[in-house]
Amino acid sequence: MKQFIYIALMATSLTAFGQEWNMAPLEKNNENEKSAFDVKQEYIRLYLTAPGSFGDNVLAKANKGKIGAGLMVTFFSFSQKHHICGGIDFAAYTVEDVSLAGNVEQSNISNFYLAYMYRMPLGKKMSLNPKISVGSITIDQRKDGDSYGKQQGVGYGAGMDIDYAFTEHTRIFLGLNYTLLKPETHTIPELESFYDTLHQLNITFGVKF
Amino acid sequence: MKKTYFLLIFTLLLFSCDGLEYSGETKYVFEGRLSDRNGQPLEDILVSVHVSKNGSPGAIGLPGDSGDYDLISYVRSDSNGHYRMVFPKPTNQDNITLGINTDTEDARPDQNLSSIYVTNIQNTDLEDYIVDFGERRLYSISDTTTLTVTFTNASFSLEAVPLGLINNAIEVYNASTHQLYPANYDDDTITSTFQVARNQSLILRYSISGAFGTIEEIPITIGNEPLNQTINL
Repeated sequence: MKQFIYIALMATSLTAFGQEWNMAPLEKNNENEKSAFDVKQEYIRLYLTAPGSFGDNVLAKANKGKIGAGLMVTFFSFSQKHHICGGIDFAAYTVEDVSLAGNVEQSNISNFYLAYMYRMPLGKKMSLNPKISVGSITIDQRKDGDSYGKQQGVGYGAGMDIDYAFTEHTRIFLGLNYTLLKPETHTIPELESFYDTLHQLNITFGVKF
Repeated sequence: MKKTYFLLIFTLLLFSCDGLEYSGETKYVFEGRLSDRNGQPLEDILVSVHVSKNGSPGAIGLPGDSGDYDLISYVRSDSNGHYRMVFPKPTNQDNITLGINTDTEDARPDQNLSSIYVTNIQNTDLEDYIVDFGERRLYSISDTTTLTVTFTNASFSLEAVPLGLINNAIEVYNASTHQLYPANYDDDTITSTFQVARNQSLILRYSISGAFGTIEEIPITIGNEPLNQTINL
């Protein structure tokens, strides 16, 4: 239900602001002075993820990144440089150490986040886009289609991507995102940080349009 | 009509989902150390945790095994004989069982060593999130003998069921066979047979069902030879 509400809100926002954006004037600079901003700005990013992790925590020690995917939409933009975005990020990990993670097959991490992104032009067709985010995360451990427990928490992210204007309306991008995951955990004090402070490092590749 | 079928199927699916459930936020820890009879650490011994409900004993091979359980964690002891498992808290179970050198769905135990079950562990035993089982000793099967326990004067309203051989406060069955229930039930006599290590002292725990349903314990000293122990009810 929660997920449905998030998606509905995002779709509503997209529709509302997308219309406004379409009516905004495009750059009117001379053709020879075109920069990255001359290309029509994107509203939606779809991407695949190579999930990773590091550090002394259960995500890094007992799981191996499998595959992930995500969707990010732009809610607001200011002077074409500052962007407020929201997104859904999903990453699946294969459990490799049952004694630390429990006898499950997968740890699925989903993240509903709000992000601030800054856009820096790099020449005529490229731009660098650092961003920070905060989101609501869920770690769902699964085996044979059954859930073996969920952890809710907060994710704090920082990352950047570099994109290339493939066509006037489409860009491809490659990014690196770090997320500090803080799932709610109750266990012995010695193991608390091992289970409630997880470092996720994802490589993303996708398209913006 | 389609809606009715859909609702019917949905309702059936809803009520047929009777699996075990877990809290991912709570992590339980089971740990301990394994050694041989001389106190030397035992490496590479399979240790597992099963979770069960509805009266299932919670592990392969235990009497009454209904298969209604999950193997929630397993590990092998390290070179110091140490083992540790962390697993999510079960929320709708009534029994957690630790198996040391016992069968799991995926692996077989060391057939040359005895095995231990620690059963009937409840969430209330885990308010600190951890159980340290301390040092447990496994015995060589070649170093075992037979203990036969005979309950006499049993009747329909007064019968005994051996619960296992115990150590400390938790039920422990330390033998190479796992026959916790009577092997023979003949009129007024109940007989159970255990394979146990030679030259050790054990406590036999048994329950007497009747008007009051009491649990009794008696110490037993095992020597080199097979032992017959008679208990008058």
